[in-house]
Amino acid sequence: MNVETERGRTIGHGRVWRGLLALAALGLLVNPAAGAAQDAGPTFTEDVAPILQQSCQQCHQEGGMAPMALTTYEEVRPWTSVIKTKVETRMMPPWHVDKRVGIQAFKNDISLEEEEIRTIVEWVDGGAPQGDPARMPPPVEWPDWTAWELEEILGRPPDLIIRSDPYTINPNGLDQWWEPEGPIEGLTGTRWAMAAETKPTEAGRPATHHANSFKIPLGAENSSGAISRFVVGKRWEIFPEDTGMRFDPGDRVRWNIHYFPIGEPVVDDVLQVGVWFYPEGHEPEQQTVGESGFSSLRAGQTILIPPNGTQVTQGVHVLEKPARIYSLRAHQHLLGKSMTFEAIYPDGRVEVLNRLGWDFRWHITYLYEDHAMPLLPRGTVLVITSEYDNTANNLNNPNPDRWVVYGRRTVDEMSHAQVGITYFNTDEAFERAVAEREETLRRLAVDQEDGDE
Amino acid sequence: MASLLCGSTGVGAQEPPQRVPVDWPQFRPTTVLAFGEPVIPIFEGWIPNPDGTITLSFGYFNLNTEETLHIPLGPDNYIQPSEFDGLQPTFFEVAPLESGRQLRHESTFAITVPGDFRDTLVWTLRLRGEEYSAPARADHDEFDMEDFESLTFAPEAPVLSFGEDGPSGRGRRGPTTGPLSARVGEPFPLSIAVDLLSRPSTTLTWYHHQGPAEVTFSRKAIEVESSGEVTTMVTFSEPGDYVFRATALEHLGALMQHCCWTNAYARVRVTR
Ligand code: HEC
Repeated sequence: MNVETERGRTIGHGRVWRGLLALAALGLLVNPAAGAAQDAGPTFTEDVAPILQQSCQQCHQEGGMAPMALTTYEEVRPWTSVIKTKVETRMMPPWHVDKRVGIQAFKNDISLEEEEIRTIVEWVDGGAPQGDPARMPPPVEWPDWTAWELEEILGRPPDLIIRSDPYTINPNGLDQWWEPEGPIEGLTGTRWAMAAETKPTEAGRPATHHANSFKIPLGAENSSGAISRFVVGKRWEIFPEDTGMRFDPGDRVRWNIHYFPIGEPVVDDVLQVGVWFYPEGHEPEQQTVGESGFSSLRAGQTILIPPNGTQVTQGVHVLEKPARIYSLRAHQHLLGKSMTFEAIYPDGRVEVLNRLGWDFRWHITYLYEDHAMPLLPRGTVLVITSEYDNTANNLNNPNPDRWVVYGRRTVDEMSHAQVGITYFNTDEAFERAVAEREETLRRLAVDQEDGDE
Repeated sequence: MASLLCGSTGVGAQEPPQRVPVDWPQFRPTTVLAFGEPVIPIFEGWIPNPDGTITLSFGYFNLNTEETLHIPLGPDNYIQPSEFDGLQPTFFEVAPLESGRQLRHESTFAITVPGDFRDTLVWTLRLRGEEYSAPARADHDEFDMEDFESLTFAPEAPVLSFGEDGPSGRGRRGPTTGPLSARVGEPFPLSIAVDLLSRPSTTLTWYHHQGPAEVTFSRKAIEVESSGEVTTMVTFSEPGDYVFRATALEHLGALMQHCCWTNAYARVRVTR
């Protein structure tokens, strides 16, 4: 099965996940070389290599997380027809937002432009010529993947590091969950976090399916929200402007780590969460709860997918307070196909926020651009609809003949959304945010017109 | 853009316009109702045994919240190949709602096949004119289930034993005792010894697995906080052959992870 193979390959390379988000932010991506020879059709060195450098190589390089490097013509040549299929169907680069509907302004959009896809397709159809080797752009220099990515972006190491208790990952058998809980040490007074990042070890990374850390406030039984979530494609988060998470001495951390056996043991694996604080004494206007889980099941409903069949479930959530959504992430297992987010406003209007395609290998967090973050008034109904495919058409499906039920195992199904959401304490604060948004959009519209001239 | 600016909410949806794709998902709920819904046989996974044999594990999902279903062994409830027929439940209890979610009955029985068994074993139920089946094979590693120990919330399956030197075991294959003899109308003790090993507690629950008629338990679920024997009284209204399943489970979350709990089975022959 695919996941199995992928796992094998990942170990083979034995390297850590490299946050593709960071690359864009670090400005390390090489600019595409301009100017294709119009008549001759696209060539590798002049037209295709720049696209691969910008959009593929952060993963497809020697020792990278992807199964093969795509850095030289020799490496790319055997893959040309598969590359054509993967980019045409938008499976690569992994960015599974349905482009036909909903918001398309995301901070971490790594998808290709239509024109880039056309270039690759024409190049493959034209026999995938190399072109003039002298026109090959110089290789990209990549950063140290084991470093804190936010350190580059925020300009300093984390103010606080929280570590999970060591865990030895069994080489074989089922998925393993490790859920230790412990004190958060090193706090002397109240501080507000502005960003957090989870860092796996180099050895443990291929086996780390996801790792969430939750904060339990002093004296509380339950968590007050996620500090950080690490899944494929996401390891850090900077909270929106003047939004923070409160930390007090005596707070505790509860981990929820999902390891996948990789055929060899990983001894005493420890995950770290780095936390960056606002300056001492600064209390941000908004308190974040990090991401919140929203089910795509109604109360009393369950997942039960017939053999060789499909299923759709729907969760309905009424927002008791006005809210701003800054990110979306779906969570399903092998049979998940898509998750759609709709808002039904108090005046009855229905808007599709987004439809996210689902591929089990990619737990992508979609981060809205500031001017595109949905602002939802009190009383908005958030409707989350999930599709599942238990047919043989789903190439991830290990056994289409089975009735599939709700469960935590990879072969059982789940469906919930992790929504980055902050709530406004008052309707007035919300109205202010709406007014600011309208102003921003007006400005953007004017800029756009100026740009068009 | 203009309409967006007029919108009171200022939601950031931009190009493209709100079009609903043709392949839009249509909501098709899995209905859980009080009565009239089916019971679905579920293949849970397989467990490799130290002696080289393989155990296939099955559960069921009764989609009714109030209707207990009774499907006797025979043309409406059978396993193929027929040499493996007979261990499956005939009594399908309702499952409770837990935190807004409908639970089901996980790993209620297990069938051990030779290590070289390559066929598909199929459990079929027929109900109200519909047929539901659970084909089982030990061919995907993903369905290899942990059994006794794991590093999860409920890391250790307890040991369940019938009597001093009676059948004893751990995990979902469970020990089986009997047939014991009981009489209609007389409360009969179902006794089982629980060894918690290193764990602080477990919940021992009795289920009606096979039998011709309803029974009543004096206590269905027992909190066990120290190792030792626990007893539940069961009373019968009809004679016949019955099977009861005891499940010792530390934490409901363990069900979703398929580790680590223990089943045990008591066969009882009831006469007037
Ligand atoms: C974020 C990391 C990442 C980026 C960016 C990325 N890939 Fe991939 N790619 C992967 C991984 C991991 C796999 C294997 C798992 C999968 O198929 O999802 C893969 C698989 C593939 C495959 C299929 C290989 C096979 O065995 O069939 C092709 C072809 C491919 N990528 C091409 C591309 C191209 C072309 C780009 C850029 C336009 C790109 N990828 C960008 C990570 C990435």
